[in-house]
Amino acid sequence: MDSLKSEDRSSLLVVDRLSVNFGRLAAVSELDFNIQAQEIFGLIGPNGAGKTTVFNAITSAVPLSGGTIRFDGQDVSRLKPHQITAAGIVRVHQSANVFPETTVREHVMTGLHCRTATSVLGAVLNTPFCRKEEARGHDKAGELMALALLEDVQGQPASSLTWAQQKRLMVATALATRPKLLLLDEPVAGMNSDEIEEMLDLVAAVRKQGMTVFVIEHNMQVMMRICDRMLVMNYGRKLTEGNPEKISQDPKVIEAYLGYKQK
Amino acid sequence: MERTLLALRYPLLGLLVLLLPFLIRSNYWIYMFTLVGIYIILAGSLDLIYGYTGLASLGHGAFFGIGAYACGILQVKLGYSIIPAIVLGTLFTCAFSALSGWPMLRIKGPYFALGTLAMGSMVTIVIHNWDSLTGGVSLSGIPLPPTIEFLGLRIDFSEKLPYYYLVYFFVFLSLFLIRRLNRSRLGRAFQAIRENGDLAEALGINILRYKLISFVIASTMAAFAGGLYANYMGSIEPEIAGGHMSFNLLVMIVVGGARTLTGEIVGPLLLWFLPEFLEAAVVYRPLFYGLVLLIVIILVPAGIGGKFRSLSPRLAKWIP
Repeated sequence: MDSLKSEDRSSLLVVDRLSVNFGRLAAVSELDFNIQAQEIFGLIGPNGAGKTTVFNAITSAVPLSGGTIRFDGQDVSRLKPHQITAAGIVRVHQSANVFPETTVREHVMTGLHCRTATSVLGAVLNTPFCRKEEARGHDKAGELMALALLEDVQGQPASSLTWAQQKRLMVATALATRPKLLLLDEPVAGMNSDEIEEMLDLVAAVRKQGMTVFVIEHNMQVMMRICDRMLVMNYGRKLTEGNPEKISQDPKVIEAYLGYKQK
Repeated sequence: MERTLLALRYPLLGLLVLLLPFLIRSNYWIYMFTLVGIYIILAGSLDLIYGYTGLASLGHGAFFGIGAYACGILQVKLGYSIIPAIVLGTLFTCAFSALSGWPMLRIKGPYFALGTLAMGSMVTIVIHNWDSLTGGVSLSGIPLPPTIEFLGLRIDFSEKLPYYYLVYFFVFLSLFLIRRLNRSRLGRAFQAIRENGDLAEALGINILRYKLISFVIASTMAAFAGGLYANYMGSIEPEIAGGHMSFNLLVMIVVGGARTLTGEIVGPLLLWFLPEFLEAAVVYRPLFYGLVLLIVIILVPAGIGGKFRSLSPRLAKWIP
């Protein structure tokens, strides 16, 4: 019911009765929620609750079995993955997912692809338009590398970076696609406390630029700190939804998700 | 000083190519180097598909063959003159590569390699059996370009030298085009597809579209090289489109070093001239190619160019 009330305001993403089945297994069933522009929206739930499947469905990495996803007023349920990115949704994967041999600078510039337009002929003739676009791309990459604290490693191949640096590189590359909605799948998993702070600074900077963030994370302290609202899933269904305080006190959540702590 | 020398390496290479005929002073060797030039265009264009975009094509020879035959047939059977024949033959192959690439590029990895291999065989069989159009076992009578009088200069293509320069003009042009492409956003898209296709797609790159762009550009270059070859040789056989040809081209790139200009040049040079120096009989050449490939894959998987580049960053600057 919460979701219906908030839909009147500026909903950037509206997920309506989303279902994803793998054979007879219902990974996500009849899930409703929406995300307001410029908020940080969290998704939590025990392992196997279907969180990553929700991300996969939004980015068209798996086909929907039912329901619709509307983004910025447009139905994106049937778009191809690259069209989703062009529409303004980009996702940062949980595991290291980089172009291993590409240098950090080129890596970030690869993210600019869908916002640039140089054609084959333009590239071959190195037209003024192409040169200008490349120069702008280098400037943008420089900005993003500074934001993600990657300037010192800009000439290195992505595979040579530390885990935390690779994660920040993935975020910087995703930001280069100029998204309106950034999906982060476990952004701080496997990081030490300094690295977590660096990642949270990056997320804060992203939000300051007016972007909306949708985040999956197991680290509850981090989620309590950064999220405006949260959705809790269990067995592919919505358990509850609300602000972090409400969630942390909800008996259903404690039972399903934090239950083991009570025992 | 080092900078000046670095900037001068391409002009120096150009000068070497210009002066080479005067150093070797033998029509036979000029002829051999002309053929190597055609192979450099082929290996370079295959590098765009295999090296840069990461698609192991075993059918690159097919487009060379179709280009050569289209250009030859237009001249021998339909009476076109050389320039429209090469242009139309290349455009025809360009369209053919787009039509065949559209379904084939959806299949991945080894299946793509097998698909291209099958296509190469089909093209050879069609050329072989469509006697009335292709002349069957060989299409002969393809003329050399006519003699040109230009500013009092007489360019007679029955001598070996003018065609050598003509071919190397296009060698430089094609290698230059490949470099330009790869330094642009298109090159980054190719590289992204090669290194992590799923991530490339998630970042908004239309994978099929950019695979197709890479495939069609490379095939078009191969077809143009086919046109140059047909007019130089005067007669062509269906085998130029077959699996052996495609395999040899792949060996040249793997041995020379994928994604290096050095590899695109050294691969064809080495695999063309080494058997020649060893005076190996033609029948033993496939054996030789196989042996060289095995040695390189085991000892220097990055190829000759790649190996030298990895020795030191200083050296890497010198080896494009």
